[in-house]
Amino acid sequence: MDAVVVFPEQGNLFYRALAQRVVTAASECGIDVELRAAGDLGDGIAGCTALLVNPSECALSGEPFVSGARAFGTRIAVLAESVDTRWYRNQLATGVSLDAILDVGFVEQTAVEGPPYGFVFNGPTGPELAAIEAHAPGARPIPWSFVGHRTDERVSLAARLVAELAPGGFVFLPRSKRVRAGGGTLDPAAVTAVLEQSEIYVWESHHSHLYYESFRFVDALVAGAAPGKIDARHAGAFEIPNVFETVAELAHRDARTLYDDARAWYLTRPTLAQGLEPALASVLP
Amino acid sequence: MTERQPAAGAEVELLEQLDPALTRLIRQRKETGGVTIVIPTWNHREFLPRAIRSALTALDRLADSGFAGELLVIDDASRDGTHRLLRSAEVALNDPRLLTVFLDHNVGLPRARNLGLGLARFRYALMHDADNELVPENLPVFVESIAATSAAFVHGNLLVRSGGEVVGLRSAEVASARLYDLNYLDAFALVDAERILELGGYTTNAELAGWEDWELVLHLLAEEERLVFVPVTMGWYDRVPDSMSRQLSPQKEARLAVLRRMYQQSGPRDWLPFELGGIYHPATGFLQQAGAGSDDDSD
Repeated sequence: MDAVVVFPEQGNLFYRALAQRVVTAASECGIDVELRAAGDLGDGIAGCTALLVNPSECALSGEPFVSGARAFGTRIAVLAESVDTRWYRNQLATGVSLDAILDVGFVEQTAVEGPPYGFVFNGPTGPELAAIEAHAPGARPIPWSFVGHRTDERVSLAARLVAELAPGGFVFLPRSKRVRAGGGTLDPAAVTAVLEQSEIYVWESHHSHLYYESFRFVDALVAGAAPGKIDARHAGAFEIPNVFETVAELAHRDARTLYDDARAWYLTRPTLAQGLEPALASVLP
Repeated sequence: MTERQPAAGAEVELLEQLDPALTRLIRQRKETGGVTIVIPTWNHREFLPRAIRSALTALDRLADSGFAGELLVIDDASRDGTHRLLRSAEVALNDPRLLTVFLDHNVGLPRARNLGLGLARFRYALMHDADNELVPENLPVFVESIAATSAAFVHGNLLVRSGGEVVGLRSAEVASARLYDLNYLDAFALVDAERILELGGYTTNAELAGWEDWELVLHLLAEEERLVFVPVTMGWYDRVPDSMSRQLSPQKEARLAVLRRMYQQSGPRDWLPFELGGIYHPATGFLQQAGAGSDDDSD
């Protein structure tokens, strides 16, 4: 075994999905890798390389994780966060020392604190690539979907989407809470079920920093929905399709064109394995 | 208004006290395949034209989807010219779907709502306060959802507006044990009128005045009725400065204590699931069934 990918089983379910994607991509690179829960790291890890997906949520598993993680030879955090937020800083304060950080996303960031930073483009895994290439989206019953925890800005955006894009969009904005099975939130499988019936997956950051939520883009494309981000502050800063300053701009585009533009852009980028391999090679024994 | 079938039952006895002439119009067994939009109103003349317009447009959209519908406006003895406005609307609109009832003395919101449930021709009733506004295009989604899930109460997102600005979201979460502490489900919802009436309708207990919406939700949970959240925008909820629901007088605080005492025996328990409602959309089916999970406030 070359590496262990650790996911936070007490944390947000979306990080388990990220961990599974990392396992798939690492396997595609020929790396012998196993997936383990933060609270049950098991045997045979001494000296191994650990890819800790969101260490601060892994730490919710308590002492079994914190003490177990110390046995690894190398500890690399795998993150998908804006470096300007507290959620990023939380990763550095778990009591587990980190040798490196791998930021999985679309736009490389500049981390001013913490261990050495590496960027991995959030390209598709093999199965995702096959799904995206196979899609031929047609009309769907849900014109758009908008899912995230509630903020004042997101509530205002929901109103504009209803008024300016189409009234019948799927709006799920519960108060902020961890995404857990049956916890009044939509788990990854439920989000996928919604996106598979949606023409456009709309989102807006829950903070004001320049950041692109690449996982929403990937989730949309894999489910055959067009990704569309609304970002009134930073729309012009992204060289990524379908980032709009206003809902009116989004409403002027048809869903099929949005999907085709996003897919064409994404399929010219490296896969997740192609991004992960050089990053891991620099840290693996 | 069209004459309705006579019926018997507790709600008829209640209505006999209000207006004996109305009891012959009460329907206990209702028609499926349609919706009655119930708008009880008291001194909300300025909001009624908007409410009626959005409701009739919603009935048009229902008809497009193959559902029948009617709009029932109950004037609870308003003293602001509502009577004249509604009579004018009847003449001007000449729409047989618009039905009006005028009470000669004020009976209060819960009794007016119960009257609406009793008079409703259709089993599914959209409870619509006069200052609410429907998103008409979305009503068919809620009707499909209540029919598919056999829920007693189906709620959707309500965009909260104040002074023309969007200031919040109501009814936008699945029913959970939090409801024993806080009511976040508004009365603006689609209900199974037959079932609600069988359970006694909105409470008219004076000790619970002002908390009837909350009491109904807790009552439905205690009766193990199904509450379903459909994550689509049902309409707009106007936050009016003098709205009853915004006032919390000492008397209302005391009534709240009564409500909590009533349901503390059926409140959250370790062995009960935290999530008491489901999440459903006709395009996906259930996204979360009732009866699982735990709460967690962290992000």
